[in-house]
Amino acid sequence: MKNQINTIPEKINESDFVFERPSFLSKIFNLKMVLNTASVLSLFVIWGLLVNFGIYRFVLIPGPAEVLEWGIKWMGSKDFWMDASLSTLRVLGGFTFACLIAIPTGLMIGWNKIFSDLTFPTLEILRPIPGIAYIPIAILFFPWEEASVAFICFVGAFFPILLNTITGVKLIDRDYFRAAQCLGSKPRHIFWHIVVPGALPSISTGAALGMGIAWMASVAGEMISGKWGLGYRIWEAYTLIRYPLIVDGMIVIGLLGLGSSTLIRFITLRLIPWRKAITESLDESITK
Amino acid sequence: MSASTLNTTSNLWKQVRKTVANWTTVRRIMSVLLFLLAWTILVQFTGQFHQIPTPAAVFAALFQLKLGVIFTEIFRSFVRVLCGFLLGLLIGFPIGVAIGYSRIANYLLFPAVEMVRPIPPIAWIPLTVLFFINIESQIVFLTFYGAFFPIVYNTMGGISEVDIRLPRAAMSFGINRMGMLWKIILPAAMPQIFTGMKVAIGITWLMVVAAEMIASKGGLGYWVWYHHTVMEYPMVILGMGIIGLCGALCSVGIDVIGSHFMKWRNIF
Amino acid sequence: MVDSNHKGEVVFENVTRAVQTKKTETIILDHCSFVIESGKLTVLIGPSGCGKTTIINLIAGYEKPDRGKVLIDGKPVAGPDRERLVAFQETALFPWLTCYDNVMFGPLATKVMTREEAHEQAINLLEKVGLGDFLYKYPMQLSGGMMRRAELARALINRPTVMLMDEPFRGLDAMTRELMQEYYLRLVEESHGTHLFVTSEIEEAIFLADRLIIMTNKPSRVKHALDIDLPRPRIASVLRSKRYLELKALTLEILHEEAVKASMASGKADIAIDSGLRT
Repeated sequence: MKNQINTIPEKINESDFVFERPSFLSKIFNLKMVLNTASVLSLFVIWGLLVNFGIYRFVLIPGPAEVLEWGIKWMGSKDFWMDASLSTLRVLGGFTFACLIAIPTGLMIGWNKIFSDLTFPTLEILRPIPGIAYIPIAILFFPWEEASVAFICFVGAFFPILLNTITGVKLIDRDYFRAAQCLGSKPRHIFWHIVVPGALPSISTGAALGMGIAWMASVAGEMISGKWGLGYRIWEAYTLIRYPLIVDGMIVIGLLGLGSSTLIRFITLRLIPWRKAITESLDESITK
Repeated sequence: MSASTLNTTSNLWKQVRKTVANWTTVRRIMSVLLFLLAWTILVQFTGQFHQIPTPAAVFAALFQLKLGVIFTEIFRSFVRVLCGFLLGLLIGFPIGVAIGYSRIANYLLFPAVEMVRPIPPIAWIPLTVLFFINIESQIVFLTFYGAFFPIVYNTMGGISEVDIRLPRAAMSFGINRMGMLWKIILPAAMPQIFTGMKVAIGITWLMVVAAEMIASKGGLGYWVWYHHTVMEYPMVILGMGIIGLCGALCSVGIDVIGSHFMKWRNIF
Repeated sequence: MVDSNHKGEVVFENVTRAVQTKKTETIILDHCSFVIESGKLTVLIGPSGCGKTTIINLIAGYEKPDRGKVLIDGKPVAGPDRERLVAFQETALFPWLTCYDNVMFGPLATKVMTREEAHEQAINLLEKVGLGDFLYKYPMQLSGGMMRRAELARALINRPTVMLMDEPFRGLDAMTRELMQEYYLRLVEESHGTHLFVTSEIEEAIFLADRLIIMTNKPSRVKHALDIDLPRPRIASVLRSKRYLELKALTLEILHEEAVKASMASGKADIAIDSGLRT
């Protein structure tokens, strides 16, 4: 969260202009660190207290200690690795397909008016239907259960990637096209050297977003129609009254989702070095 | 004085040609027709998808809809979506403002929020079912939860991305902290706040469908799932269409409210 | 290579161009006729919003005249072409390419020269505009003045017959602007191509021009054309010569008349159209 304006100083203090080297202690015990730690700790403490004193129906909810205990046990079993790898594979499968179809389509829609007219209205009709609503159709479409869950992930990831790609192309400065034209670019050359790199930052955002939704869709798909996978496991834990396992499953899903989104950001940042250059030069100008 | 019309002989037909009967419209209609055609061919002439109803069957199903039943289901889902969404707005918006505007609140709340966020709302279904006795409150909680994070994050992001020159300019007029928030920061962050609301209502619809499919207590999600189990597939597709329509309607509704709040953006 | 000495004559014949806003059409150029002579640096000056950018767009082929003809060496403009290069108001360097790659873009797109040839010329040109140490920086890492210089280099490597400069130094501070003008003059005096330079600064206009065209307020026509007979190569000391001050006074007088007219009409001027021109 760089460059964030959190507070507007009421008045300018003299101390603002005194530069001192922060001591080691003040580095650790500054306000931010203390409050951040308090924030994370309080989350667990409040959870533990609510469960411990059984306020309202919190008696039924497993506490942190129980969750940890079950979690360690579960991580040791073969089931866990099977569930985690299967869910990841489904998500990655659906996501990859979504990228392969949505990015080229989006680039063409953003760039070519005729192609846009021919495809966009249909996509616009299909877009508001949430991915989850495709579950019955997915089951019909693919008798193979793996494919049906992957298909739901595909639908979930498809539209965020598509829409971000389209806006990415539309946001490219018109002068870039004109400049390329008068430098002698033919349409194909413009597509590869202007449209694609120009839309990349936006595609990256869309991909990270799509990844999040793909995970969500996989959980729903597995809950309703799966026999393996993390979504199925937490639903099974509910029906078999193994409640701590539900929370463990949620945590694992959260971590895997976070991990894959971070991975995507990392990869796409490699593809857009000029963005890194911007932030670097900003840092330079601040430190100078 | 300098502005005068170059072309005064424009008759009605020219206007019509310009706005309605041009190639763009033809292509757009073609798009939908081609889609329907491809669908029909895929279903009719390939063995693999024979279970999927044709567009014609779906259209025929439209006339078998019992209007009373379907409108009750639509109404139920709508109420759940709106309750969850408004709750999300009521709780998420102040939290987003606090995190975005006050440093202390940011340090205190942001890490906790950031820790819970990666867990997709769907994964909360088993715990929710465990915790709430009443099915209505289960569904409303899930929709609320779906709306909560997009609203918090976009409010926060909108505030942190306000052009720093605006608060600085306002400061030189001697504005106080509350005035700064209401008169400068929030109006400037408004576009992104509404983007967040649009995302939120989309996820709310997704959540309501998932929750209703699992809870079997009425609503459009249940309606679709029920027709799936009794193998009335045209109805399933019709149901999907209705869900999509409702989602689109809500999104348009937020756009309309948004453009009312941000009149300064609609001048051009 | 094209022999640019005898080519690149641009002729405007009774050109009319109107912009459509929601309800009305507004005339920007009204039966506008003038000639941009080949191998010379012509500067176009006029009150802001008088359609200077439109003239650039018409020559470049981004827009078409509603009436009249824009001829280049006797042939009407068909569309954008690499013979006519534009340097844009705010730079249009591609942010995803380094300084060097931006300059190489044109030669690699058209393949008129080999990579080695292009490389040599690119390095040469970039050094000439003082960017030798910044070859592999992205545009965002350069200062405003450096970006404009890189854009100049990117354009000139293609040896255009007509070079169109759309207020290229707008928004630079006075010092950088002077420096840019000198860099630019040095390049022009070497290249001998046809240049059209659009500006709203009188000093800049007179300092650079072989020929000065003064536009009227919207709807635009040519108000006056002046030959600037200051000696070449031009150096900063020209700015203190008697002839320069005379020419400046004369131009100011003509422009002032227009500015008064413009402010009289501004009560009715349409803001939307003004900004529509720029976007």
